Amino acid sequence: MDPVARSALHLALERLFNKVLALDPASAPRLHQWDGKMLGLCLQPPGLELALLFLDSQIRVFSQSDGQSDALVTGTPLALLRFLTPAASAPAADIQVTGDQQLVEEFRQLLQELEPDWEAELAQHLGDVIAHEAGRRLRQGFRWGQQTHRTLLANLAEYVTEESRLLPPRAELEARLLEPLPQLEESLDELEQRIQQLERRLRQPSTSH
Amino acid sequence: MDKNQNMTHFGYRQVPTEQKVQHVAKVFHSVASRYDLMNDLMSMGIHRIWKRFTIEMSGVRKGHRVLDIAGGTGDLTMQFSRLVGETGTVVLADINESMLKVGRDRLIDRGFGSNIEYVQANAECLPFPDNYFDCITIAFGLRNVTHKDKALASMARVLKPGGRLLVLEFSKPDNPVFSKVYDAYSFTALPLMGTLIAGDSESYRYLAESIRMHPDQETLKGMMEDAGLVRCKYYNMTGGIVALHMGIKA
Repeated sequence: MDPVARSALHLALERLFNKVLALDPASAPRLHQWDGKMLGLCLQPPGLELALLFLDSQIRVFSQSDGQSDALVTGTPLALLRFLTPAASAPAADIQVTGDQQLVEEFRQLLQELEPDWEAELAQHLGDVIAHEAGRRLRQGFRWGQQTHRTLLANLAEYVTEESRLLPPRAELEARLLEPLPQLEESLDELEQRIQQLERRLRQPSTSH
Repeated sequence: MDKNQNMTHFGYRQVPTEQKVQHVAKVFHSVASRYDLMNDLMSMGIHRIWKRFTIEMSGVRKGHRVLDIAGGTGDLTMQFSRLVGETGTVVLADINESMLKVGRDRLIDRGFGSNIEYVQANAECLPFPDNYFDCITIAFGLRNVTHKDKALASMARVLKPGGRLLVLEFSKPDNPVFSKVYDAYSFTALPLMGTLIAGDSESYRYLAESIRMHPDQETLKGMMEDAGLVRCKYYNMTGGIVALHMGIKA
């Protein structure tokens, strides 16, 4: 990518991050404690690197860390997004974290607990009354969306497992998969012992002639 | 002695070598007060992105010591001052007193000060000890220097081993069609803007001419290598109108 386009993109991202962070007053002291630290994000593919430098309770977005980042998180763009968004509860398996694990974990926490005061921002442009009403409707819409999403998933899961029997229910699947495991382990042990026995016999000098 | 040996270019004109500094000084005394406004107008604001990329490539962090040569009105110094923090230092150097004064006033007005020093200095003979700076930048200044090789050697001297020199400068567009459009813009629109905004078309004509007289990307890279820098490379920006050259002191 052309350096100008890349830098313009970084500038836009930086402004967006800092604008959103500024809408939650609780974020400033948390950012301040990482002052001077750098968090690298490596998107693999396409092999794009972003470095977030924490400075003066703000985030600066740079194109490269020059190996100076305190922590580096590597993963696909989707995995990174999942890793950093509120939906993620634990580090995903397709994410690699090296360096300062605490910084990464605290940064995830910051993003997950971020509560931007959109209403205050909106009030500056539209006035208190309209902003409050818009905020109330947005929150209602958001709650409805979340609830619909959960219900839809539950109904779909019930349909494919219980009604259409396209997929087995989780408990049944686990039982079927786990049931033959002890027997398989036992057979493997026996096989291993048999191999060892054969190896020992091969190493012994022949006494037959 | 050959008469030409004592002459150098000042835009498209040939002037006695020892007089180039005065000619350049006159240009910058004239444009200092409108320098930022003109930069925004001439580059359509893109000079901020060129400078931002320079900052990104500088690798400057807390506690570093940075030299911003030909720092002018302090755009880069401002950013470096934030990056190096209270434990670092930024030296804003410029040969031109007017530019330095405008830069110093601007930075002080914006609350910068504790980690910035101001030095009026000639890039060809920098008044600093050897191996002193972690990073040196010269943005849109090298083409005005009379002896570029001397200046690069002087910068390499004061740079710490492993330190970076970044030269941000106008260069040669890599597309011939784009180059024609750029020429037309430079030699008509720039002097016109100079007349209308700064009341000085000559200085802006010099700007366009001095860009054409400046070494192209590969030549400048070679000059940096001759000055003793290693891993020299350059990044073309906006089709090669501007290039950022980077070299490391071994």
